[in-house]
Amino acid sequence: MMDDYYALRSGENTERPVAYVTSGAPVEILEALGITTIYPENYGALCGARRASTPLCEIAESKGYPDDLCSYAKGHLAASMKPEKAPLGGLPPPDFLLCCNNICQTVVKWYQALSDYYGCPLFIVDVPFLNPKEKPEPVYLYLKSQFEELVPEIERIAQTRLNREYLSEVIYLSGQALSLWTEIRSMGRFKPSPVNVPDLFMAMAPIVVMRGKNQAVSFYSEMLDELKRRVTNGTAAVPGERFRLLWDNIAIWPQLLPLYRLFAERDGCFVVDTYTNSWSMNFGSEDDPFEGMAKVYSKAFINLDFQTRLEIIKCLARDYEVTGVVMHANRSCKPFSLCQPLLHRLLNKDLGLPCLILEADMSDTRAFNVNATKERLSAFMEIVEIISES
Amino acid sequence: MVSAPERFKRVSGMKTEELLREFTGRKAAGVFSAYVPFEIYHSAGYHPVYLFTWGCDSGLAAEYLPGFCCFPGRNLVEHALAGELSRLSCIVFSATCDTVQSIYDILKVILPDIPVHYLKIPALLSREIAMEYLEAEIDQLIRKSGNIEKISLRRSISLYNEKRRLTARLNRIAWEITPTDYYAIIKAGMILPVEEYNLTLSSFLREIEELNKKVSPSSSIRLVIAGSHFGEENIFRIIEESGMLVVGEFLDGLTLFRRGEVDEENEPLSALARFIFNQVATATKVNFCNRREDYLVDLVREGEADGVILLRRKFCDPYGFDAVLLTTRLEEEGVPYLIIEVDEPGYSGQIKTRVEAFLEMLEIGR
Repeated sequence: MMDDYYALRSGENTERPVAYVTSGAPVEILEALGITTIYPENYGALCGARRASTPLCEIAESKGYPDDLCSYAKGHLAASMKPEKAPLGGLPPPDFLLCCNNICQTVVKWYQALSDYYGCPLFIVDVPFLNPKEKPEPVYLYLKSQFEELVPEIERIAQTRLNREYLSEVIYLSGQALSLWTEIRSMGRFKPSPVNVPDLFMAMAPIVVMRGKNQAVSFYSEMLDELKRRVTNGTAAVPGERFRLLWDNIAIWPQLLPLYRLFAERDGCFVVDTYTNSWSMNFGSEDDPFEGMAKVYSKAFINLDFQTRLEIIKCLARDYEVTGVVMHANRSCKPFSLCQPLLHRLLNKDLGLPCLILEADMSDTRAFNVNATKERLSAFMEIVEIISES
Repeated sequence: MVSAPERFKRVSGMKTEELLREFTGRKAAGVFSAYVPFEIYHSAGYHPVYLFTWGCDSGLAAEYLPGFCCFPGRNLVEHALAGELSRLSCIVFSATCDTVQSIYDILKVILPDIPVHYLKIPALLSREIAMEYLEAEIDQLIRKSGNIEKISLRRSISLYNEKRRLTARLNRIAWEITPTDYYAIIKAGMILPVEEYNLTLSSFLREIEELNKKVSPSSSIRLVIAGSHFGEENIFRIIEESGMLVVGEFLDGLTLFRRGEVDEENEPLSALARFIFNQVATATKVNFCNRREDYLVDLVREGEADGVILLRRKFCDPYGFDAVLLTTRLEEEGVPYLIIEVDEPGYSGQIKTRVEAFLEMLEIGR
């Protein structure tokens, strides 16, 4: 499915106009206007999983980008500069860029650099940091105004007018995919869990890049059916599951299967995570589509204040009967990572959960030490076992 | 009687706790990030003081932050844990980068007795709808900071405008004073009560202007210093020891607002929002109308600078991108530059060697 997706986005096969968009962008507007969307973050994950990210990062570093900068950004910028050295021969050049900062502030600078490099327009959807306990209405209003301002700009590039009814259909499809994804994730509540978080990581691409499309709905309907069959048949994602773990942060893509295998070998199944939770959203039943989108996109997990995120994680830990937490201290993702030591303390104190913080990077292999990780992982699983059995 | 530079130097060398002890008469608002209008807190009866970094890592913050957090973030958490911020009546952050957002979250947990405020600044500072949103945000901040009467806010705006005029005069003669004096004067402006600062700086400027004590422009290499700053005094010392002059600074953490004044004729709330919008964006924001690289090049031209020293903050994404943006433009303009990566402050022999090598290169270039 993803091969087809990228095949339609390579060379002359690419239908224009093309937009690069961030993973939390209100893509429904673009979809309804017939724009071909491409997600550099998804490409970053692909480069990471193929272990192609580090050489690309080194190219970006040779152009002046520092070694501690986000590896997705560096990898993608290098792929733009040297497509011949990048997986899939790089991505087709964009006609414009749509950046939404509900996932981090780094994307704003990354997209500014892309705009300078390609000389194409950059549109920024600015989503202020949200504390839902404080009055969120000004944020929703601000976002709605931005959507209204964005539409004529994209209409001009697409050379067509936005059909609001079609937009509602796209939003409906997007909402269906999000609901299915939410239900798929909730299957981890079963004991044994029919799904392990690395399965979610491998299956998450459509929810990121195909929201608003039929293919995403079909794919997740099938996946949900399969998981339901697994529950009926008592099929465990990790046979002999004894420990139910929560994963925090983006995957360590270059180590995706080897790392989780180490946990599975010790009967540990990741039944839930915070990263794929970012797409567990609901558009609600707002009459005004922009109103619903404003609410959904401002509440992206990583755009919420720490106390709200802590409460969400505690709920997940209780609902999924988690016995341990593994946090990926991701050098490339500060909003996900900087509060982790505090999170560690509070989960430990309030829920008595053992936590492990693994320092690595989502795609750059230089930040991951296999042997040190194995040692820490073994010690952690022993603690999980002792606490689980006490 | 202490001379003005001595007073500025003494104050700029004080750590936050000492400062707060010295200014015990007023409640203090600690400001950690750019874009916070000091006028608001001043008019609410606070002494707004910028929280520069102080000292080195003792490891205290490591329990709360991973090693890849930037030094200013680690340093603030460290001071909070050590009880050195306990005299503050509130702490104010603004939405600049992901790290600031996280530090704000952490401080709310570790300092439960001190109100922590957060001003949401739009990411794109060149569109009207964002200004309307910012106005609403400033209004919220005013409500949080206390009961402020408009007349009092107008008085504070006027005082800070006066400070901006004085700073502009200072910048025009920056090359006539030593780099460390220049640094101390600018830094003290973020710390001292504005009334005292204006008075002291005003008399100092009169003295300098009267004396017309000029350093021959041809005798020394002239530099602009730019990038991320949270207390890197030693860079200025190294520049001074190398015999160079600083003719302009573009350090985001040292000067919060660079362009113009707050319109005193306008309604204060919208005047403050408009003022923020007219600024050159920090590296954390985008302003298509006031681009950073243009500002830097203008600064180089106006100061007839021979080169630029760019401070790039370690573990900082915005300044990582910014360094490429700025240096690309400097290369196009043929302006030599030196990038120095900054983390913990400290006098570094390695940095001194690099600065001296840069000086030699600039001298040959002349």
